[in-house]
Amino acid sequence: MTAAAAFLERDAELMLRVREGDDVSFGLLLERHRRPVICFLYRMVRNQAVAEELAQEVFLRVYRARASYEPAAKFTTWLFRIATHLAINWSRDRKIDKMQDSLDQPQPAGQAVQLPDKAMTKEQEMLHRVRMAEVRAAIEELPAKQRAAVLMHKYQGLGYSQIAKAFNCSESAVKSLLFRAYEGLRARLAHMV
Amino acid sequence: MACEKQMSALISEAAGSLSETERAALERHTEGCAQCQDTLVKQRALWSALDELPAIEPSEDFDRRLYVRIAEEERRPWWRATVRAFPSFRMRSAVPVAAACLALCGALLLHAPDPVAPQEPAKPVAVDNRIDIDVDQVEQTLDDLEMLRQLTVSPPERDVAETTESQT
Repeated sequence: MTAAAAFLERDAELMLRVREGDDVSFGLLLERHRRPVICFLYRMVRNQAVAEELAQEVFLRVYRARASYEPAAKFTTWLFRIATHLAINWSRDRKIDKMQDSLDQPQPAGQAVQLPDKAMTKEQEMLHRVRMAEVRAAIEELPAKQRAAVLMHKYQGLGYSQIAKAFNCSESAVKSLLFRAYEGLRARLAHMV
Repeated sequence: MACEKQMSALISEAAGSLSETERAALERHTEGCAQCQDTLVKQRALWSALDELPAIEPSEDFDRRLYVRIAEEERRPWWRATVRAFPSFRMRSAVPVAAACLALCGALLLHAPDPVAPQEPAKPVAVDNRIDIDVDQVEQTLDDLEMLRQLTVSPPERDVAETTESQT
């Protein structure tokens, strides 16, 4: 058995223990997945406070559903399915409320501050910041579903089948979705690629 | 534009998730397809550019806040959990629905007919057959009756008086 497979089986095993009332196992699951879920949500919503709030809701839903948990799908797929659902709903509600922040606006309080690498010169640091802002803007401009697919694929390392399960669609639909998303990103970031 | 059949292979190759066999097949294809070769180069560059987006560190009190919420959740009454079991039901959508229902009820009340006393059961109505009577037949009958009346003449009064006197 590969290390990755063992890792995934461990998730299901822990969740089954949580179902039996073992809260320590829930703590271990939280420890393993807290950061990836928050990072994913942060890249989706671009606000750390909101990302953490949504991540809390993700883990709260996992805890609520513990009694009915069945290891039918990979735990991470389930986790990112909930996270995607919450992030897309949040983005939709935000659009409705017309509260979309301008990319040119300064970062509001509560948002992650990117610390510069100490090894960088001032020029490099500035260039890095500009590139980072461009990448972030390009990702943010993607439609919510394409954005979620790219974030799951690129940053969480989820495969086509896992993303398909998270989206409840076919694998070929995910391939097509990702291809369009990357195509859009290549066009937007043409000067960088 | 890259070949549609190669799209997932191009993405997977840039992500480093292709098997050796798959990679060899893609290389054979890209050697003869300039567009796929170009897309592959750009996709690899994009993959690196996306690394510019940094990850963040969760807040130190993330777990504590989560456990507080879990504890609060477990103290909540049972009906809150029941309401949550219907995720489509939210106050945000329930308020306009309730307002629409109230407006509909109001409109119905305004336009409803006046209340009336309960009606007694309908009495049997006599069947009117006049329409079915033949007028000619009625006239004929009346004529017949008139003729009978003339034929059946009663005895004159004076004859009756005479008979009475003779008996006395």
